[in-house]
Amino acid sequence: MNDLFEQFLIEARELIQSATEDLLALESAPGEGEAVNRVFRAFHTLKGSVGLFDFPPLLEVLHAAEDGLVAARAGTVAVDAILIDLSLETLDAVARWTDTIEGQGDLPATAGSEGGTLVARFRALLAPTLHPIPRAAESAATTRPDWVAALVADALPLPEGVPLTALRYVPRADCFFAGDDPIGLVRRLPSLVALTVVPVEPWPETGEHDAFTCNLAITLLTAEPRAEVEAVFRVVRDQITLEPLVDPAPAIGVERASATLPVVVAAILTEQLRVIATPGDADSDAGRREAAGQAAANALRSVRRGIAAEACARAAQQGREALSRVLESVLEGRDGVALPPSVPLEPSAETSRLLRIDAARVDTLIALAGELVVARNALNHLVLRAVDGIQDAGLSRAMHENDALIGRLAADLHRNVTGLRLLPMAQVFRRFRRPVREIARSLGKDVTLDVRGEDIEADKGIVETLFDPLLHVLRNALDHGLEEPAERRQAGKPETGRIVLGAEVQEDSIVVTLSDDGRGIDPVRIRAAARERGLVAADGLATMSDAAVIDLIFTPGFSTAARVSDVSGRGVGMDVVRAAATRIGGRVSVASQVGRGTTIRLALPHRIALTRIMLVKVGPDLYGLPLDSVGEVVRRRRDQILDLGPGRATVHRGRTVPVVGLADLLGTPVTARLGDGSPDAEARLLVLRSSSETVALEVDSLGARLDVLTRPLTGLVADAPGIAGTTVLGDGRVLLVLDPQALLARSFGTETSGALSEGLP
Amino acid sequence: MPEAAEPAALGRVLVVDDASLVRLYYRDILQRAGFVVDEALNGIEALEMLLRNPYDLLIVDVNMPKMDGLSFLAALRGREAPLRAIPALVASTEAGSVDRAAARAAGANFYLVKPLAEDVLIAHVKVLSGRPL
Repeated sequence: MNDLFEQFLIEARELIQSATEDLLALESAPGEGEAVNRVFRAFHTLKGSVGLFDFPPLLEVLHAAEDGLVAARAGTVAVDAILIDLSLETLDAVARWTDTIEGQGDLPATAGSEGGTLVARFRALLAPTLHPIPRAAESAATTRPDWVAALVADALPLPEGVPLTALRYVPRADCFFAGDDPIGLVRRLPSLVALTVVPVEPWPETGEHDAFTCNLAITLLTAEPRAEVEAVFRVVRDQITLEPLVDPAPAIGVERASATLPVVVAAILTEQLRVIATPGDADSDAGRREAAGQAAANALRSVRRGIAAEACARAAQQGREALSRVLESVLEGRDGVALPPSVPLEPSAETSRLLRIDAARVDTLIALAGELVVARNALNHLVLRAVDGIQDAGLSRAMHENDALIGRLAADLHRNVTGLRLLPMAQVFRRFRRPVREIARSLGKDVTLDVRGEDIEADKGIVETLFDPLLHVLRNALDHGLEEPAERRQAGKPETGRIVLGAEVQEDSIVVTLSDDGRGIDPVRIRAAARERGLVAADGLATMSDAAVIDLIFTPGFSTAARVSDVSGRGVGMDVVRAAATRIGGRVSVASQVGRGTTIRLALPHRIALTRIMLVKVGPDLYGLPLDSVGEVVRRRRDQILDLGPGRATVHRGRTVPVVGLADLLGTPVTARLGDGSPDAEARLLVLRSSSETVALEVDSLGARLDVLTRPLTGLVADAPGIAGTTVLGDGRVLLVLDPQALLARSFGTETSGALSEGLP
Repeated sequence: MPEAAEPAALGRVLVVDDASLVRLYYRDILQRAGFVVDEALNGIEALEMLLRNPYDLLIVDVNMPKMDGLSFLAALRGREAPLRAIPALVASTEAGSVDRAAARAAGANFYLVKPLAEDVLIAHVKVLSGRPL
């Protein structure tokens, strides 16, 4: 994908988002003229951008939608549920297609047919319903001349209420000498629907034929009233027969069929309908159908109706029925084939690599970089003075101040750079309005979605992975949480349910909550389900608190859905939500009150923060240990550390704690160890904070505590166990930041560690 | 296949007609319009040509010696894909509705009554072969 396309993707997603919001707003307040304008402009801009690339179905769909919105702006088409739904479906399709283009470089294979359907549906909004003439006209008149019947049988579908006149014109044999121009006269009829030209007498042999004699009989159908036809043919009044088929009726603003498809094309399409309706040899059936599909597709391609052409080609493969359905709908300008119910917007599997940055943030960065350059120049000046051997109190104070300044700037710079990854929650919250509306509608429930804390920012990685788990929670709330309107009324609640989706900052984490005012989770049912599925031993279950029982909904495989619903499905439970939250370093919890509702709470890390480490020395080597893994730093006299054979241990706070040398864990050569072995010497122990077992880690010396940005290992050492990452020290040295838990697990495993404990008194 | 090398061709049309003048007439008009035109004198020849070259459209006469146009079309439609799916335009001197129905049953995609005016021919050939009108 090139740069231009990447730009397009960013822009398209924003436009889709904003148009979706405007459409949803229009749904609740249809009178919003400005919203219609904004939606129109979004489609218009999208169309313009798509035109830069070669994705015809995408362009055609947007074009059709734009036409629809132009009419809506002009007031000729109502801004109603039909238009809004269709526009939303179109946005869905466009979003899905652009995702596919991003991932696979091309539109999905179904884009052509899906697009064709959308285009046809927009056209149907704009054009009045078209009816094939034959059915109407045939039933109306049984006493018509043969030539009229033949014409009607060949006619194209016409809008209802359009006048229709049949004309038979047999020019005089010497008409060319009389100054008549039969073809010219026919051409003056603007709305020709059907035309046949046949010889009056069988054609003579080529040699005997007199080219200056007219031997033609012209019959035609026109969508003009009788008077109009008479006016055109007044000079040859004696040579024509007129047969008004449909009385001139008020036909205001009716678009003529010939205006959408050229007559030749429409005639060829109509003929294909007849071809496949005509019974033939069984052996040649498939061939005839495919040829009809090919001919129809070609005809549509000739007028650049690529989507419809594609639909024909596909339908021809599917069968006669499918092909005639497509042909009819194309001819009638209305593809009646219903789309499958629209799917709520799902994010593409891979989150986008591009970052859209607020210009103000970039300005701040530029300003900071500028200040840094200035500060560095000042430092350079001071360094030169120092090199020159100028020693005074002023110099050292100036250097000190400069150091502080650079330190502040570096911290600011870091904060701002990491801030670039921050996205407002709005990015994910806003995407829920659509799914909530669709799901609620499909369930026959009324719900309002209340969104709070949209402005709260979190790391891009977190915001973007929130969608799936939250959508799952939302589905559950809508499907299982909220009651049917009738049930709510009985319970004395407003019929319209309420779901609140909110975000707030609590200490170091961002808490996202999703509450509904539905029926709540009944611990009795959960207990029954847990017992039934054997998730918890029966006696264990009896002693569990209701809160703990409700928490079981996060157990893998747990589901209380009594019936299968196509919304939340079955089998995929809240365990998925918990797993997703855990993946991004978050925690999920649930609180519920029967009859009052349920709140799901996701506590998420605020952002990818600096790690606070402690420098430790083992032999000659310096390492970093994350401070959050260190519970306590203690000094112990060596004689208080007992050698127990399989390992050493000491007593700490009344408990026996195994002592493990970091040098042993790291395999530092014995010769390189500096530790003073004398009994009086003090050993430096770090008591590790761990969920399973307390272990004291012995190091040779302790250094400073630092805030560092650790980088994960890459390349060959990416999988090196026990190392959390690296960071660069002030003097340029690369420091390994250890993961003590992983180190312990690797060196001892649970077995040895268990043996260690067993060996203790 | 020397014609296949012509890059600017709009498409390749096979004219199946026993009348040399008619074939010449079609060839003249369609070549000027940018098509490559091959000729066959009857259905049997046409089937042979079809096996040798890819065609975008057939223009088929009805009354021909050896194998008439409709038998040829019915045979073609019974062949394997994609050969059987080549659109066919039947051009006949018969204007009756019975003839039209017979052509449809045989697998014709459009029926025109001879003689064909130049613009009519070009328009139908272009549309049936999917070229811009």
